[in-house]
Amino acid sequence: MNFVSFEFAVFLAVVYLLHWSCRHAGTRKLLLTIASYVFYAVWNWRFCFLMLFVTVNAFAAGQMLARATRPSRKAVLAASIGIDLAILGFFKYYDFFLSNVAAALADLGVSASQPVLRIILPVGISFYTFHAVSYVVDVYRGKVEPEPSFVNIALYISFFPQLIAGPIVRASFILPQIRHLRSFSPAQQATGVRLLLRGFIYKAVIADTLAQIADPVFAHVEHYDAHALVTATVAFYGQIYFDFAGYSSMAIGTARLFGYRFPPNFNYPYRAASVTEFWRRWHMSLSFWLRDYLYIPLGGNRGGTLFVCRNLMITMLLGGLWHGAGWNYVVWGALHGGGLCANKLWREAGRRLPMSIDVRGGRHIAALVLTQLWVMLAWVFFRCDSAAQATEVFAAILGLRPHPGAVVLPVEGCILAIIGIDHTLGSARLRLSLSARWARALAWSGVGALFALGLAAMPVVQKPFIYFQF
Amino acid sequence: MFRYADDAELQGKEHPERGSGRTRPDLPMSTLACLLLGAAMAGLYHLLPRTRPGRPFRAPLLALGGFILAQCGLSAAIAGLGLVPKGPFHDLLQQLTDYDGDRPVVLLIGSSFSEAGIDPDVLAEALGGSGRAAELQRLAVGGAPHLERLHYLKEYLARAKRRPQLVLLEIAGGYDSGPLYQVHQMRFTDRMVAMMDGSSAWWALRWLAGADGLSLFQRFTLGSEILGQLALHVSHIGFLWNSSPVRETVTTYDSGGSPLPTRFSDDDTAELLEQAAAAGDMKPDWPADVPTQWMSAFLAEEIAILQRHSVERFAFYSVPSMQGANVAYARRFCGAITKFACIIGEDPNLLADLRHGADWYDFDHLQGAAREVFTRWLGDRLVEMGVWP
Repeated sequence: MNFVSFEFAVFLAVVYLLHWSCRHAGTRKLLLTIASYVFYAVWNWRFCFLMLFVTVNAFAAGQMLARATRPSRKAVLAASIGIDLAILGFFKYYDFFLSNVAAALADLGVSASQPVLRIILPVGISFYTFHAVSYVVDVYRGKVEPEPSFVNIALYISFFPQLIAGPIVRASFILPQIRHLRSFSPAQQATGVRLLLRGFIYKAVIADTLAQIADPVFAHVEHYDAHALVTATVAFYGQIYFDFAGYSSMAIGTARLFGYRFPPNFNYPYRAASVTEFWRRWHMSLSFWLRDYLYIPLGGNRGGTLFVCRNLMITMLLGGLWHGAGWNYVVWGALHGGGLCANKLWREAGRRLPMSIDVRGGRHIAALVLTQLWVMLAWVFFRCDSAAQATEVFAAILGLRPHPGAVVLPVEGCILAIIGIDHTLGSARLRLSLSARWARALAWSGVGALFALGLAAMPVVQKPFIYFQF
Repeated sequence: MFRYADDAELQGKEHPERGSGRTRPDLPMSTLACLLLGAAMAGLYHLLPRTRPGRPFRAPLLALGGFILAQCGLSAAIAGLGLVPKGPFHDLLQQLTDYDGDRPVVLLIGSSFSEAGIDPDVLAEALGGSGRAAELQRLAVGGAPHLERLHYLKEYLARAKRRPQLVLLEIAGGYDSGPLYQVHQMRFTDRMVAMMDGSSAWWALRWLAGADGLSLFQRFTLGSEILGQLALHVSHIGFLWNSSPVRETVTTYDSGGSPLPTRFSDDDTAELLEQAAAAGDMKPDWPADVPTQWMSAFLAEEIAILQRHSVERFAFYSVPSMQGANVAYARRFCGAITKFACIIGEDPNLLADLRHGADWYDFDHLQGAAREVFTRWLGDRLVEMGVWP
């Protein structure tokens, strides 16, 4: 169910009314859990059982960790995470792995039949398995008490605002909220509505319009000239931000309507002047998850520069692979890993040099441009169907492909200006200064007016959120 | 969101490949306009003051007020910019309303039966034989239910440089008996959303309330569809994407091109026409009273609107059909209409000229030379009966 759909509007309205008309915390939680499974079943009801299995696995592991002695705790942890990763691996990477093995054998002259299963990728599997892992690891580390209520765990893993594409909310962050009765607060509702509106503008108006530019070009890169490919790349650079930030804003806003607070997922990432800063601002719930559950266990910063770079590369390669079973995602992860390592080395060099290499003023702008160029080029691998297609895009952009191809209107400047307006006004927290009475009138009538304008300006056939495929 | 189908989709080309092999910019300026609007909206969102909701219901009321104000502003802007929903009717309207000549206008309102079966030039020529030349305008689009025809008739009357002097209205049992059938078939398409204004919704709901033989579920489904489309129409959802300036280049609609391959043998056609002429029964699911109470009221409204625009002469006609039910319906309809001329395409001489399989696209639609035969016959009848001049 797409957040920007009539079905979701009806679903949300019904669940909202039922939720706040229930007085008991237990009833509300049960209602939200059932609603979340219904939300998931609309896509494919069969995979509800898979999500239920992942939930039972996490719940059982939590209970066992509560009772287990020290040596067996590790075994419980390993078994639970192993089951989650096996599920994720089977559904997401089985076909990818086998086709690559077959290709490698074919290169060696060994003919092997490919038992490719063409497995359907369950929507949101990457997210709910990470939620399950987060709970088990947090219990193991003692950051959260083992949850005695199965419904609480089921709600944590399946809660529909974050079920399909995150944000990846930590068990230690959300379980305490789930345990207590949520109270209805007008201020909280107001924030929820504003976040929903923001997500709606980002997704329905801007991202889906940018998709009209990027999608046709990336669907047939061989037909377009270098300039068209640059335009499409810039369009996708904007599209993925407005799409995913829009989704996140709607997810956080929806949760807020039910009284739950999610951590922010985006903080104007295209203001970042280094890849390190980019990952502190982009898909923050994933980058912090990878940091805490992968990078730090690998050794983190504890070691020499090469050791740290190794950890960064492993984390980002796996992070890339997490997004999708394809070499293009691995390359995308590698580019970001490389960017993180370069930044690490730059900072290391700065400590040894007698002069300051702080990025301020002109140097800040240069770092910003360089970083964003790097991010933008990496998105080409993310957007293309394969690494080969991405290579073709770069070949065309660099003039290595003779075919001139078709052109599209050059709107790069316009797209970058939109991003600039959003990032500048959003992060500066500039507000129209008015008397309290007029401010309230403008604030709320503005919400209504923007919603009306958004409806008129949105393309009528809405595209699914990009991150729904992960 | 509600999914609209565009014309390409309705014709079975749901996923036209964009960009392949094109050598000119294929990004419409509306994309750029929507991007700029999106940027303005994002900027405004960030600048809006953040305040607490205050007294209960104040914030929702203010938001509703803002929504309504913006909708009014949008309506004004749409009217000011001359934007109209994309689709066959608007292209056709643009052609028809531009006429500013001296010949008196004869307007023909109908569906694909008229679109396929009547050649405007031939009809104008036939009417001109009376000594008074006519400008024939055919406001007929395939699959157009009565609600859609009335909606665009109003637009036509508002924009036409020359008002019609005679209006010819098509009779068709299927459209008259089930006015919401096509609305349901094309639910949530550009066309249906564009025509579902308050008046169309009122007539649709009125039919729904009085229709016999519908289950509660069917009434609920159809009612929801009508209200949903009304909401889409009123709230202008996706309007900027599905509209174009009224003065943009138009497509010429003429279905009188090359006839499609013959489907019927001459013998079969002759037999079917004979059976149709002999038939006395309508389809079992059509109401027995012809025209229905709803249809009578609807026609009275349509005629009253035309009369308010100084139209004084009207006539009804039916296109020849190989289906007995259609012929039987037309007979009953004409039997009930006493105030205006009513012409049924069942003259034996006419049918004798239409006994070739190549004359028919299907049981109800003429093609090729047949459309000229019927059109000329219709023109002669209108002159004979004194409808024209």
